[in-house]
Amino acid sequence: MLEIQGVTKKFKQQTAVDGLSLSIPEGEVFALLGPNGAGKTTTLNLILGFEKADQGSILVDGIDVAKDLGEVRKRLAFIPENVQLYPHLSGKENLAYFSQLAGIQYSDEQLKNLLLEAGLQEKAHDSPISTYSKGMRQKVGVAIAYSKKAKLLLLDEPASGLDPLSSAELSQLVRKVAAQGATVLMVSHDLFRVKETADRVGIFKNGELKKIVKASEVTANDLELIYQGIVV
Amino acid sequence: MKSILSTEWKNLLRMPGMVFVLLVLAAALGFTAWAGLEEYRVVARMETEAKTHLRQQWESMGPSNPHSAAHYGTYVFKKNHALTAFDEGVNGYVGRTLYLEGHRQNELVQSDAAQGDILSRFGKLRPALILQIILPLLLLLFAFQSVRGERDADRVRILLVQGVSYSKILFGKLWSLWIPGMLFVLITLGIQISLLGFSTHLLGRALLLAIGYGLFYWIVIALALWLSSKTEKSYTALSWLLGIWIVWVVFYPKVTYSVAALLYPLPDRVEFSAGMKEDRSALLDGHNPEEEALKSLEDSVLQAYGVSSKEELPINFDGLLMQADEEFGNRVWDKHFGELYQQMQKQKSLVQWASLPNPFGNLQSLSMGAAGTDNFHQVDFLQEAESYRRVFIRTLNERHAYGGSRTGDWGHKEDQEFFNSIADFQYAEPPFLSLISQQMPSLLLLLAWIGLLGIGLAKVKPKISAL
Repeated sequence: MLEIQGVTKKFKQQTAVDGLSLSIPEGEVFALLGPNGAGKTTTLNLILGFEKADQGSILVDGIDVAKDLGEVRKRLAFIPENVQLYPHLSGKENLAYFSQLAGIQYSDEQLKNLLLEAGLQEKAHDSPISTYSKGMRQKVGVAIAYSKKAKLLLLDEPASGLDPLSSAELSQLVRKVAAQGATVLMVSHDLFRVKETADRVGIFKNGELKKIVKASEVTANDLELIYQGIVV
Repeated sequence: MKSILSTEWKNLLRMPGMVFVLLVLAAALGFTAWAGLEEYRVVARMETEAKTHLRQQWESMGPSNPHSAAHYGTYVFKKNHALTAFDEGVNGYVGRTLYLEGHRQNELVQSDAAQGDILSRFGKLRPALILQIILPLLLLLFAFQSVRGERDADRVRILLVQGVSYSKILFGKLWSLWIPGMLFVLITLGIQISLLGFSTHLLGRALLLAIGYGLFYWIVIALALWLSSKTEKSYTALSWLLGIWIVWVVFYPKVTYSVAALLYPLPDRVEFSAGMKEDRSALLDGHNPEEEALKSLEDSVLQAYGVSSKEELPINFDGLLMQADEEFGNRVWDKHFGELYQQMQKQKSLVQWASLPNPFGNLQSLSMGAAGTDNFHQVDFLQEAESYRRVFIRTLNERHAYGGSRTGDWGHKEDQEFFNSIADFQYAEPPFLSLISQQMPSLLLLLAWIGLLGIGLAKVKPKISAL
């Protein structure tokens, strides 16, 4: 589903992503784990088409990001670290708007079902987003991904700042999305949440993918090693 | 686009304090529109009363000598254009009453400023003041906030991933602010016009006003959207925008007017009068029969009538002499006023073209022009009034010459019927096409801005943090 081959991205003298190659099949949740500044967000921006790779290629569902970004974006959904959306609009209005931008018109009932499916209680649907907790906003973000029937969901530090309960809920939602056939790529520095959510984990540091392991095989000790720079 | 507009409006209207801001703005516009209309009506009524009174005096003058009537003269008033109620322009600073008499051209008097009207010294409260300065500033701030909001909340990446282009989002934002901005302009104009009485002429000018404000609002919003998209930091964009606004509204107009005055100086009042007087006394003087030119005129008239002295003429030579004096005075006035007018035109042209980096200057020019309150209309009135004066005095002089009296007969009187036959001054505003031609540079410069910013908005990419 997602094929990254030898991608390199430099900003002036700094190499943000260095020869990244990665393949993620349909239905898998893959996590890029690494410290701040490792190049995780740049990798997401490259897949999203906000940055152009200096070398290499990125294929989403067989379509080259560099050649047909429009088609690629039709297959993508993205949830940033802190989903703000439009604070004065309700969750339902936000969902309706983002769906319309993607060219999909949902009925009120369908919007309600999408939000419910994303785990947002009905009583909150018509309240302004500004009254939502971060966890609730993330659920609207997931509903936007549902609404688009995205084949690839990209999440940037999705559990950052969430309380343990909301974080666990989000993990379940992400697993649910993957179970429905979508591919998920999340970037995070939270080993615990990654282990709970992902199938495989890529250890990312200084723009390089150091190694790929099964999520179940990563230990807390590994994280210490990563941050101490021992992993090679 | 429809969904972007609807979402932007919902978001805007639900911002805390927004309804209050809109209500205050509407109330301010309502008040200034009312104040403008009231003053226009009061002045129009006073002028009508004054005109009626003057005409009554003229028609009850009784049998009089035509030359005495020329000295008695008449007053004409620069009738305020109905859209003065919208944009006061230079009206508060220039006179609107002109005394017309024989032998000389007088200056306009009775300006509000000269009468110590405090408001006129600071600019009167008119809708144009709010629609030129306050509303565009609000639009600029909303446009800035709109773009920064998308970036600061990291919505821009979600929006773009939905498949919409950044330029479409920006143009959606542009129209979402432009439409309400224009509603304020159109409603204000609509209310004023409906209360002033519809006419094709008025509608044409109102349309020009709406176009001018529409172009300017588009520029202000587009500039704010473009700059906010281009700059990395919020405070950089805001500093730039506020800086540009202050330069546009406060500094640049003053600098261009000062440069224009320096490059194309106008004579001061004393200099102008002294120049006229000097030229005038150089040759013909109707009350000084010693002049050489008078002798030449006298000889030609005597020859034409085949007589040897003025006393033998079947006409009153004094009337011809006074008309010759008038015509010389007119040539002197045409020369001096023409030079003055040319300098003023050069100043205006320089200010207009120098407003390339300042669309606010172009809007001001368009607004005053369409409202009939700019210098172009002021000069047009002066020229029309002078043309009337010439016909008025010539009619009296010719009557003096050919009305049945003989040379030296200053006691001859014409009956009231003759004086009643002289029509009052009726000022006709310059035709719409000449107004458009005057304002063409401003329109073209605003369109040039729109072209540049349109390209800029279509091409600008959102700043998305890299790491």
